[in-house]
Amino acid sequence: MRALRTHFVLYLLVAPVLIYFALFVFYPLGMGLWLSFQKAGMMGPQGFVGLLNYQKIFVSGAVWDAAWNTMAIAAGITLFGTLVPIIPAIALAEISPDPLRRALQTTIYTPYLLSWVIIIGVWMNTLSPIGIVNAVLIGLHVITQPITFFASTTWARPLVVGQTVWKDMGFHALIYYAALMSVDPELIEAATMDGAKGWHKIRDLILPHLAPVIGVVFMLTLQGALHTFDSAFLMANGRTAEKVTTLAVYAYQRGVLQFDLGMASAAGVVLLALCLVVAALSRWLLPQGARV
Amino acid sequence: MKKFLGVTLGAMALALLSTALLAQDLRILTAVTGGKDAAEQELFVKELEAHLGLKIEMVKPEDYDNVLFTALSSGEKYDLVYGDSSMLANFVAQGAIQDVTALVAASPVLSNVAEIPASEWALFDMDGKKYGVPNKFEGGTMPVVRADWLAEFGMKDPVTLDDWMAYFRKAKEVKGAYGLSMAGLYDIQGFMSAAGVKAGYLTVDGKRTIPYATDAAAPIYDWFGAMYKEGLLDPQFATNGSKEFRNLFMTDKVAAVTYWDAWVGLFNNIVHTDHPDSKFEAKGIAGVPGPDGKVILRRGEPSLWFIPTNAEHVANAIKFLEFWHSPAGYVMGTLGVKDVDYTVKADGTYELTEQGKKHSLDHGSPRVESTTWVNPFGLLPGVQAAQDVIVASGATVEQHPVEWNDAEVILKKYAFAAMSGEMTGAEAVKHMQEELTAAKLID
Amino acid sequence: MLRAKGISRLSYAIMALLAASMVVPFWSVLVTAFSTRFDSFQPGIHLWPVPWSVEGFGTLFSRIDFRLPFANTLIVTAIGTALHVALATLGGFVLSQPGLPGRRLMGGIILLTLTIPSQVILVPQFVLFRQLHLLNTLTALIISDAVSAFSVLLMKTYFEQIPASVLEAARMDGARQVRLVWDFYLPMALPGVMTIAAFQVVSRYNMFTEPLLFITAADKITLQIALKSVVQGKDTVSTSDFIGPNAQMAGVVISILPLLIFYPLMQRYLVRGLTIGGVKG
Repeated sequence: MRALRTHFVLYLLVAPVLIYFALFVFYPLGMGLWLSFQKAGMMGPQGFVGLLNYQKIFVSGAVWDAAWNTMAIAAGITLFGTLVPIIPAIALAEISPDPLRRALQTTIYTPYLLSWVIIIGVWMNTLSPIGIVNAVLIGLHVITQPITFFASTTWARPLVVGQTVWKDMGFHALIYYAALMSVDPELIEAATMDGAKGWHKIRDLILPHLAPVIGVVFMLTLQGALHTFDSAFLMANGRTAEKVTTLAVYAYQRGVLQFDLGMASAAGVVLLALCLVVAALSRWLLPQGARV
Repeated sequence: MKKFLGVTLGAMALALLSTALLAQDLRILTAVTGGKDAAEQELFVKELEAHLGLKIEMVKPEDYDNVLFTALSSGEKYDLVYGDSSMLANFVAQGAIQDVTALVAASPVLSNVAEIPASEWALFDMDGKKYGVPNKFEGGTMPVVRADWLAEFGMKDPVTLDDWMAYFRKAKEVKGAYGLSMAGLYDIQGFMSAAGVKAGYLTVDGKRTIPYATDAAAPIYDWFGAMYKEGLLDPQFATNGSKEFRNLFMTDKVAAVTYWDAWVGLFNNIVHTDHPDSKFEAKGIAGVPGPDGKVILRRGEPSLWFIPTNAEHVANAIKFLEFWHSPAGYVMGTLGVKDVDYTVKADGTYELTEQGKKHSLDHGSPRVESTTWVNPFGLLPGVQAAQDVIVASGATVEQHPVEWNDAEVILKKYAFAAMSGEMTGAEAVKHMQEELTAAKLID
Repeated sequence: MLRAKGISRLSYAIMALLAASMVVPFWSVLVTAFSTRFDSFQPGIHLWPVPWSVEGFGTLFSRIDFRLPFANTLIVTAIGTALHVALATLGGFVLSQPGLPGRRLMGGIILLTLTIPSQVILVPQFVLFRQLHLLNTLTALIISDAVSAFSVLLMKTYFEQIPASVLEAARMDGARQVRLVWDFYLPMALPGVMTIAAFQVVSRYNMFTEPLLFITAADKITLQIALKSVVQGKDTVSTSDFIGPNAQMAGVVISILPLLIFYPLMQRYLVRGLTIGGVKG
């Protein structure tokens, strides 16, 4: 009886969250699914057309290229974006005095505050043929001709991945750092007494403690990466478009730029399907401890 | 409790009613027309309301494409929406906009060819029908050179590809600058002109062709490739936005760019505002003549006002358009809002305020369609000459049907590879033709 | 923290390198913002503006009246973040309760929302907000993103880190649920709450698509929308209006300044979380 009452209170507490998702996410999603089977343009929905929108998408190979680009970019962003920020998080916890640590933490957080337009602009400048990176590489005789990073098909995807990981580094490090704050100092103390090395403490104490949070960051990064839009959209140019046009960019081009709501919705549904499959796969692949 | 409920319901009803009372006589969705910020936009609408005697709502979003798409496709009703001729085919196919041919014919202002010349209507004519009304004179893009450098080098305005190459080489040698910078495939038109080919689609005998992907274009790609290898072409040409090359041009880092005729004046104005002693002189010149001696340049897509099919106040929309193409409308579109951007002196002449000067005589239509109205402040130095070159070339708008989006990706891929010297022009054109045919984008 | 010298030294090296890569771009934004208009055209990276100039800020302030947009943004950010944190904490707390029937199902549904692309739901959301008469209200901006799967899941993992034995012991002592929440759950969750708050403040403050679509009235626009006209001026149209890069970067500086002030303030609570969590855990 008491359990029931507690449960009732708990359900009541979580109700606003569920209602929010139902009304503002799932209801529009239902409408979006419905739209993907409609002829819909600037006049709104005009009637059921069956799978026509999907046919229009799949008739050209572009959607497959976009799906492949999405997965390649998402894999890179997820792998590095989840794991690399653990390093600065642990490093931050090592740094004293306090003001220095805070200054460093704020510094690595700044790119997260800048919009993608600025980030891309700054890196274009840095990596331009007359930019600082090419100057250094030529100075060190690593290369003889400047590399045109942003016009290179080889560099296109690594640049999207690298810039995303770099931009989110401070934020992900903050999540890990906050989780580190709840490591029991006595455990570290005890391990030190037992003569454990630093690396072993990271491996045996820190990483297991972080595992659930790593799971959350992994999920967040993975799904965010599958929806990659701004970075790819802003970076794509005549030379690199075929490497960085993601499904989200593709949906935008078909919808907003070609005024076809039905097709944009259908392209979005294709992306949704990909996300669901990847989410299911990754849940299945993740170790138990890090499962969300 | 009951009383409380009653009061609340009453208040809610009043709130709903008051929004109903606020109903507008004219709803406009615009991209460039209006104030430069929210505050000025309010004043702009107020003056517009006074001129027209209507209650007007004029929405001017910061990301126009997105709002246009979301608002219209979700059923928002506007009486006028702003756009350009590239949207036309799509909108007409969807039945989203009204045929205004009869409305224009019935309007003494809009049908007056002194206000809107027939040649301007012809730019977006669809089988003799008009689906929009021009907003402003658009001009076109053209090669822009440094007239002061040419004089210094003792050179004349370049005409042939060889002339251009000589100018670029000299600029590199003397000034350490790139020869040419640009921001995309559409910027090579002035040079593609040498092969007599035009961007976009061309329908020949009912067959869709893309001139840039024909064998005639190959030598021009090679010409660019050679320039790239010599370091005369800005290696960032594929990644630049127009901002990047503009900056290069104004800071003596490049000898020529391809840009709007209106910007010839802005280049001169910006540099001389900050450096009054500078010899900097931008000059717009014609592209390279083709085999038949004709120059092919790009006209800007005409910016248009559309009346959506679900518009509720068509007569008021026409009323606005007639105002927009009248002297009072020209003053608002250029100078801006009275007593905010400009004041009228006792002798009837205009004087710009500080804010008016900052806004560079642009509140939606910096250059008007009218052939009779004269801007009281004139045009910036170099613009008229540049505009004349565009008009003299008889430049027309390019055909960009829906397929162009896919075709352009293929074109760029190989064009840029050839222009970077990674393949020959002949190879690039061959790849283009193969892929375009396979994708059924040309016949 | 780890009591290992090697790792400690390496930490300084890593952080120095990382910080350097992040200072450079931000510095270049600052340098451009404080350059004269003409100097700000110069391509390449500059380490120092010669000469210094606040011309960009002058242009910026003469073009935009920041007061109202800033107030709007402040309201949306404060209320929106509070709402988001409250809902996420509630959700995370409930989902962390072992033995609650339907817990996994609710978690699954919430997780599902992460996969939904905005391209599918944006237009329907616009329709929904119109049906609810929320277009042109700040409420619309507060309600959008009132809670997110990510925040709920993050809070859940924080709550789950509280050792069951500690809770059991407290319960044995006759502590009531409310006391448990106050004494154990909240202190443990504080770093999580701060993390989410930090995230939310930034995303609310930078919110762009929602105000772009939902707000058309001039008196309701937010800071980012107001800034957009300067920071990213219209580029391709044959316009005669031109804004220099120095004014654009001045706009960027102005827009992130409040966040740069906010972040160090928030950091203190992260440290406090450490001490409380450390003692009680």
